[in-house]
Amino acid sequence: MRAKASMAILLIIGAWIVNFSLLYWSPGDVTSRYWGPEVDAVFLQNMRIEKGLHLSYWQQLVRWTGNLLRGDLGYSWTHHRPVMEIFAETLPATLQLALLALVIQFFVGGALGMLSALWKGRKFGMILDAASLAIYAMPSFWLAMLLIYFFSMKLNWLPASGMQSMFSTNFGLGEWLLDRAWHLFLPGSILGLVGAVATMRFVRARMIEQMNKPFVLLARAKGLSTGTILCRHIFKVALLPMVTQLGLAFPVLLSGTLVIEVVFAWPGMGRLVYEALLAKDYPVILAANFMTAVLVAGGNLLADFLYRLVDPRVRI
Amino acid sequence: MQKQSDKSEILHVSRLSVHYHDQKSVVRAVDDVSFSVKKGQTLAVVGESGCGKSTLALSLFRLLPPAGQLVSGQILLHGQDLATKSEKYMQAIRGKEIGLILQDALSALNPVLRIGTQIAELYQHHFRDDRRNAKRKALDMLAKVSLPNVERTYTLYPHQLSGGQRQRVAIALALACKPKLLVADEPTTALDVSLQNGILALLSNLQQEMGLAVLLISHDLGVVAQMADQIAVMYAGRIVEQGPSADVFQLPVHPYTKMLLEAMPRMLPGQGFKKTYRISGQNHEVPDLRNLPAGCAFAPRCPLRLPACSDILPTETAIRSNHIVRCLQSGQNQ
Repeated sequence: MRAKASMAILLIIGAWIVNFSLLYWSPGDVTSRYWGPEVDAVFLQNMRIEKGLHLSYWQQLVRWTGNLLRGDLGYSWTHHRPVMEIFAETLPATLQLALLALVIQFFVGGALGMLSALWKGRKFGMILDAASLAIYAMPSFWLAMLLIYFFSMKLNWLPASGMQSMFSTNFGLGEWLLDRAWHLFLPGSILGLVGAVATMRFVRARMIEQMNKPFVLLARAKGLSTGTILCRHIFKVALLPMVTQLGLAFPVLLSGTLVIEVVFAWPGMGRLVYEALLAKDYPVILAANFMTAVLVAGGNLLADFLYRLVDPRVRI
Repeated sequence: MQKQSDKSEILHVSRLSVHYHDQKSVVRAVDDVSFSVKKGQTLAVVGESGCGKSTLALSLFRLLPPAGQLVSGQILLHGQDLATKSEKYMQAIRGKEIGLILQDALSALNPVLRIGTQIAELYQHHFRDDRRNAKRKALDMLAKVSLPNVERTYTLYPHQLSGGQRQRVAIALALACKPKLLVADEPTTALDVSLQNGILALLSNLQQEMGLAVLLISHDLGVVAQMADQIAVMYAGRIVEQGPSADVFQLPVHPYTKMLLEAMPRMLPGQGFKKTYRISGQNHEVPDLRNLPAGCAFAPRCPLRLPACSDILPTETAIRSNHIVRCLQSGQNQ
């Protein structure tokens, strides 16, 4: 476990350096947003000096790393507010989205995976399989736009964007919650669905892999029904690798929200990062990437820990 | 062969054929096989790998893989023909009337369920017992197969037991519901030789105690000699010789049976190490079940082959009471 933890720390350090390097070497900087006849070169140069962009690669890297180690995430260059403060505002919106998606991903994906393993080779199973592959292969922004077109434009059932209705501050608590849920439904399900098909394919493969094992034969020779064998005997064995998936899914999901948040104008961290990327807002990008790296490494560790917890074979 | 069915006959299989189909060909894994097993007795089915022994065992449970098909024949368990029963009926029978022991208990037991759970669920399923009753019965059963410290064993996972203990658990599991018939597919093959005797002794004790009919599948003639009352020798999906254990061991008729006995490391009393047949050099391979010769399947390997052997399929001939051979020359071979 100790070796795993040190690997995680190395991973975070590596990700930090790579992130900074990519930013540093990519063309343009925060001053690229300012252009026009009134913008003069001296103004831009002063801005660069103010932000430390005139320094060398190593000097900048040391400066940013030093700030990070001191716990100073800095001020956003575009919002002109502390990065911490902006994160604290946007994180809840993203968490709502990600948690709903996570629940959908594992419950719907797990159930569908079991069904498609059970129905393997049958007509309905093949339809399920084809549909899941189609969704799996679709870019999520395109799927999102299709569903917006259908549910929001054509049927007018669900809102096409935003997190709440206008004037929602006047709502009572019940109304307010309903309004939030109504807005959350479409982006949350799309994000969940995209994850669910991945989970489904994973569960399906694991279940089918287990089905020909001798222990399944013996379970059948005990007179157990297919349903019992599937839910009790196979699913439990197939579930173990799914736990590792759970640890890895969360960080992936947080980055997955980026696309959905942009499409749905969702005021979360994904959109914040997206805009920061366009503006070359170093403090926001670096801090967000650092957080993602920590989440990925932490998720890995968590998955490992959970696996030890659920698999009796690793417990001792 | 067709005897009057008497009360002590638990299982009577007649003219059973099982085929595997794939796109191109048909594999005749079990072909026209008949036998019966009586209460308290053991029938051993012997033969080399791929001769259809395990398929035979699975067909009794109607648990053939999807490509496998019961083509014809009857499987009478207490007079009920399992070959024609519904899946629901089979689910009620499996584990309750017929128990199965597989070769390797480590892969046959569920790796992530506790030993106790795996046995107790049989009682919950077949007798609708509640948790406590099921647990009590499972503990009794674990004690019956001489496992130490049953309370603790109950809570262990299969990987935490030794190989011999695991096979005892497998036996407890197969016999939990006091079945009439036990099908044991190579029950000791995966074990150290030093453990085999203990397992076999346990099996025969339980067999006597419960009046169990046992169908023992094995390629180990040592095990067979120890356990069997009747022996059926299988070759390429057919039973080529069948009879009382003493008869088959001492007066084998079919050349294949003779060859198997010769291949045994320990020779029979009085025969020393003299070899009457060599395992013929022409073809050591197990025959391809997709493409069997029209006549006797053993003909290509047979040291006594006659020209007619490749063309004429020998029928079952009784040479003594209960001793049946499929060989054109059975008259001369005795």
